[in-house]
Amino acid sequence: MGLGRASKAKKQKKEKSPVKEVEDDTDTEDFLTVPLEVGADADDPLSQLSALWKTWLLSDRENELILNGVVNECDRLMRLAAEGGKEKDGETNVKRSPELYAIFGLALADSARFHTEDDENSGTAVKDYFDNAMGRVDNGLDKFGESGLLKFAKSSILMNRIPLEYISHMSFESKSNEYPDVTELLDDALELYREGSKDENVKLGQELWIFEILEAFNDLQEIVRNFGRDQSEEIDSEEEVEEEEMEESGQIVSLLDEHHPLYKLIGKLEKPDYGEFFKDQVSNYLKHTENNKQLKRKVAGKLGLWYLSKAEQAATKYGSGGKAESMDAAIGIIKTCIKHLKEAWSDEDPDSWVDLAEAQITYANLLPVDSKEQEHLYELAEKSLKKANNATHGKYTDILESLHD
Amino acid sequence: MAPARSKSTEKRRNEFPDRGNSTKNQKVTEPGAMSLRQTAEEDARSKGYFQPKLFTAEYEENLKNQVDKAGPYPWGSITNLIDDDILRNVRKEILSEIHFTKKETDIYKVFQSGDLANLSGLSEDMRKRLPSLYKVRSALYSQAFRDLVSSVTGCGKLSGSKMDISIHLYNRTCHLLTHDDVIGSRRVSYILYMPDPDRTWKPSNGGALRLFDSIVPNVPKSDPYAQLSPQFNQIAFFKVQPGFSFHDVGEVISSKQRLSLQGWFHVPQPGDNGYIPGEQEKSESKSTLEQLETEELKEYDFPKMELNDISEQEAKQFTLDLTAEDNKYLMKYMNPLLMSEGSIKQLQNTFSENSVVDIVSFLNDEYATLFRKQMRHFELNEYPSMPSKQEEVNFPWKLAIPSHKRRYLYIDGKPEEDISTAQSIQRINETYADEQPNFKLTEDIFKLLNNEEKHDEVLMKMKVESDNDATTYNEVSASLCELASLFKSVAFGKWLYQVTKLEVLKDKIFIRRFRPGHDFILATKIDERSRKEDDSSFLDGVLEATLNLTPTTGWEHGEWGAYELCMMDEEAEKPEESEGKVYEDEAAIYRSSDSDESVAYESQACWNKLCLLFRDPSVMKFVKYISYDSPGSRWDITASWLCKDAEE
Repeated sequence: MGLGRASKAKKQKKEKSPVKEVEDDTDTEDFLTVPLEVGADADDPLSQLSALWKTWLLSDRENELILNGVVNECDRLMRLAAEGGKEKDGETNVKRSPELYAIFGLALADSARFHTEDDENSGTAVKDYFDNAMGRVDNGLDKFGESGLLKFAKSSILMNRIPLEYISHMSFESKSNEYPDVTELLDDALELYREGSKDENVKLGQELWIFEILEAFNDLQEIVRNFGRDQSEEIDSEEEVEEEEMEESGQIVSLLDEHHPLYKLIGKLEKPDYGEFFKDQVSNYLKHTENNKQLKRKVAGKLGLWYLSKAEQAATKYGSGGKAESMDAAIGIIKTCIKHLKEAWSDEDPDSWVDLAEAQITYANLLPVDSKEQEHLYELAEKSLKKANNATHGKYTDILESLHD
Repeated sequence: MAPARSKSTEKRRNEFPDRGNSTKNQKVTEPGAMSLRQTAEEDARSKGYFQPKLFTAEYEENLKNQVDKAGPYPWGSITNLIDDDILRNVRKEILSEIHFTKKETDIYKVFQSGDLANLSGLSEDMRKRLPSLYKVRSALYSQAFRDLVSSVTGCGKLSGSKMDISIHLYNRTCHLLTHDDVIGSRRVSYILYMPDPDRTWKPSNGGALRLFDSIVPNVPKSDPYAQLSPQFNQIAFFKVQPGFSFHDVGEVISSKQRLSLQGWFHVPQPGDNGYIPGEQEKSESKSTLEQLETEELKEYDFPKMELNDISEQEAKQFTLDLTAEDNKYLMKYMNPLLMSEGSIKQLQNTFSENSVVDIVSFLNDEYATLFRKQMRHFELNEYPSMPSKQEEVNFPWKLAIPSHKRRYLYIDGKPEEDISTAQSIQRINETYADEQPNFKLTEDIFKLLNNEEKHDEVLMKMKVESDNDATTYNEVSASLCELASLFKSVAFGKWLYQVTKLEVLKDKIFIRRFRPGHDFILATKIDERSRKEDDSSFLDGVLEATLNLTPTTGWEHGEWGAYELCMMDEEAEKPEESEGKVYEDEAAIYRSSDSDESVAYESQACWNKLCLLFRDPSVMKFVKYISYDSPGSRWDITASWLCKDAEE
């Protein structure tokens, strides 16, 4: 009797008979319950695959075994379809479908993350996974060229491939001829997304991974903007302040020379195209989230924060000698921002209180000094910040102090 | 301890060199310190690496004053210690040449230079790659600087040959809990800080060096007495004093890197100027090792771990079948599925095979949903704010001490105790009545407090703050007490017997709260005092239950800590060494293991999971420090029972 003894006995058993232990493991610890969609046919292998894929998406995505399960099942169904599509029982008919190709490609791309340390020649390196993933989706597109789902899938794979396979290996000294043209790849991904969103058969609000393409796009822009910052220890305090000011006005401080593979992309980030794309597509996605409150909050939050950064840029522009019209524009933006951040507000999420408070402060800063409306907005913001600071045991003390300054 | 170790990222390895609090029977060696005398030429040259101001009589006198007047024990700091360019180069060299790996145990999380654990043994190749670091090492161990430190701390001569220095990197969530640094011949501890040279390290970044006063020797207080926010090129130092020099490194709570060179000056070694034969042995014999063995120190442990007797009559009832009335009571709280014969049989099989069983969805849906909502609402709207100092903890909540072993809040269902001073603790121990816990009574106290507050100033304050959501801890605490009563009930005792087939004869139940940025329990074995001298027919070990009641999510990755972990005490398995260890419950452990194979059970903070396990004496258990970054507290109800095996 005893945990120590049981644990020791298990260890010994494992040492003696590793094979049996593996079997035991599959019987107990790795048992997984996969909930099927309402109305789904429990005997349909594609419904089962789809449910397993959703289980992966809703999990913490740390267990590669689930992902392997998805990949293996895709592989089996592909073969089965090639052999005539009949299951052993002879009744179930398996056909290749856009969904099957899409899940296959997406699962392979997700697997890449678990193999960043693998040797380039191992056959299981990041590149191999992405090549395979692209291969499946391209095969699918050969067969189902109009499928929006497959276009989204290809867009997703490209969007994840750029940071993981390429940018993560770049240094200050990298040259553009050593890497594929990442700007072109990104533009391809965005174009595929745009085309995908025209397909009305795709239920955007039910496909979380499609929204994740937009999130990955946002993250990618952030990665590129900050590229090299971590390695650079030489920025002194004055430069830091200057940088922050430039960023607020929408300018990007780049440390890279023109031969760097990210140089062209940084140039494009300064133009409004990417920002507009993000805003339009997130707004469009938001329209499809009415039935999922949690998702709606998340999407509205992203959109609200995008507007907040635009409002801050507009406010900076106005503050540095802009005309009255630019203030009107800034107020217009911040009002939209507040609308979305109110949609994103949740009584269980102090971050959402703080986002809204920050937007209210930005709005108040644009109003006449000491006006009633300004005071009211400051009060609202301070109350939310205090509440959030209390709920998080002091995480927002700095922001609160700066509000008083 | 080897100077170089495997580079793999490891968890919970217990070989952090900056530790004290050693326990008896554990052979503690000084990690990696090496004898390496520098030449007179090197020594003279290195004096020039310091800021010139250092070696004047006036500076020395001022510094000595500063050290003498400092509290809670003599310590000092020097800003702008080294030539600025040299130290900037050291920083650059370290960040570009040294590979850091994350290491985590019950007492710390830090990034260490795996390939350069102790800088005393710099190879020729490393000297070439780290020329400025080599200079700073020479400077720190130069005669001039040692004389200065020796003079201002009044600690006696310091060894120039026994160098003991390593590099530590604290990133966000890294920390090192309270310890006294007492090992072997260490005489003075020092830390030379190297955060970003161009930015001030603000208190809001965390990572402060915090010094703790002691209640009595070897028992540090819970709250720090003094703290230092580390700046680039600042050195902090203090005399290592057994039983007194308690300190910690507060969690880094920003994304800034806190880099430091940290080490010790030792008692002079043979051949050193100032060597006194037998002095080192004398210093070692005074160390904490010896002190910690004394039973008296356990008087300062709160909560008390002695288990409460269960009356024979009640114990007998546990072995009877569950009645309809029992089931009705249990189902008010528990998941009805757990009452079925099939479930009980299944749980029983798992438990008897593995000595552990995790029961998810232990509370029934309806009860759990409401309770979770109540707890989360309280966490988000806690008023007054979450207690962060000892004086802010209000009865019926109590504070677990001392801080080099544990810190958390608990309710034990017993009367109020004043643990603020040595005298008040002495009074508790002298007049300690073997009071039985009464969670029902505590629940009523909370309810009473809650009703009273509807009319008193707390409500007024809420109104002033115009926050109608503001919630005191009374309601949620009353609900927790109600659940703790479930564990004391005969009905639950019967259910427990059905699952474990163990006859429980003594018990101990706590409600616990681990606050972000504050709380933990270091690894301990079962407190054998719980069984006292009586009945040898008890099973050798303790049946334990933890009902996880953390209402927030996202803990699975483990980065916020707060997980409960059981590990094998491999030393205990060697019979010749385990002798005499039964009374050992001390927190600190030094033994290292090269893999996680010693982990017997691990559970992240979560909602509504009951873990039942039978812990034998070879198993150590701890609750990892809970990060400031975490979204809320870890809450649980924990129970321990001494048992007899019904089937024997």
